[in-house]
Amino acid sequence: MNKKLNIITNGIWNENPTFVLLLGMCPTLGTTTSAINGMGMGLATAFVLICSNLVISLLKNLIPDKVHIPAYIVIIASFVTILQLCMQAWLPELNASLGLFIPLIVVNCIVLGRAETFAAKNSPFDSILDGLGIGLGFTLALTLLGAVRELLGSGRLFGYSVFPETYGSLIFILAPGAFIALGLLIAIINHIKSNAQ
Amino acid sequence: MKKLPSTILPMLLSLTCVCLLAGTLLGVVHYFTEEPIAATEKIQQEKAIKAVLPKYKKLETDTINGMPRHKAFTKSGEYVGVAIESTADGFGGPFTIIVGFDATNEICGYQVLKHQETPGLGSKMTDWFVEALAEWTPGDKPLSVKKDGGSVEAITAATISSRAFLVAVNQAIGICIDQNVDQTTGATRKMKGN
Repeated sequence: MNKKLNIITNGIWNENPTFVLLLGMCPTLGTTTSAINGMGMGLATAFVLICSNLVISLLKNLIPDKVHIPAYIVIIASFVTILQLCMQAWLPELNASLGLFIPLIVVNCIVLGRAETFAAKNSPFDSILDGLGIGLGFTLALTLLGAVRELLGSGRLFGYSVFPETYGSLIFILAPGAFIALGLLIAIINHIKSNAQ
Repeated sequence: MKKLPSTILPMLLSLTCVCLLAGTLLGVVHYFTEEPIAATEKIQQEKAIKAVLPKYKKLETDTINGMPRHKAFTKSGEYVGVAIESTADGFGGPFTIIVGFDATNEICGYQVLKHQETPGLGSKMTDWFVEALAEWTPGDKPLSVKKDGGSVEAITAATISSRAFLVAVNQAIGICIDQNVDQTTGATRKMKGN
């Protein structure tokens, strides 16, 4: 049981895709203009991760090595398209704010990376747990980054005003601010980690 | 079970099966989401028209230069205005707005139907231009941003989206003014300039 729990916490903390592995930087920097957008993107990626990890783990012996990349990409792209169709149908508001970035989940290296390094070698159940852990880690990281940028950039948090917008600095909403905020967050997390050791 | 070898037949079969499965799955999902997506789009369109022309009860829709035009009437058949769907190329691809004109051809509101502008920047156009458009009256020059010598303040860091937005509004104005016969005098109105 402990081992199963470890797979999940591993994804959230030790191998956090954003703060430790530094994977999937494009959606990380692109969608985190607000906490809600970051969270939506994280959850969307988590859904694709869990589904693709499960299917790839089930099919791992039926896919020969030489064609595993195209096969994995087809599987991942199918789940992304399913996600997008469902969002268009039932979550039009979230789709309106994230629409541009959803198709990019296909080329998000976290998803393909976990398929390669974990799902292709482990049991279906463990692969689901890994998808859940990494997905949660990604969601938490994006929500945190989005919250920091939204607060510093516009003085709001999850859409609620914390301080007047005039004190916000636009750079944190723009791309350079994403790099600055991400760098500072990684520095803080590394500091906490080295203190804990 | 042992892993399939990387020889031509297993590779061919495996890829074909994966693609077939994926295709089938997508077909099924498309079948189930087609109606909700169409319904959502229809609701959004009706909401947008309602927002710009709150008094309407009946619509007459036709298409001019590829842009849908919804003429709005009250229950008793009184003309309240027209809502025009206009599409222009923004920063992240084409976007569609709906511009409402009241019975005197003045702009009485607009709504963004769909767009792919940058979140937090270009996406601000959904409520950025309310004031600028409220000041516009029939007979004014076409709208343009201050950078191009116009009167409209562009969105900070989203000049391309702002320009595209005004192009879309001007298209709608063009259709409304050129095609709409003045309700009281029966004369057609033309814009100054351009």
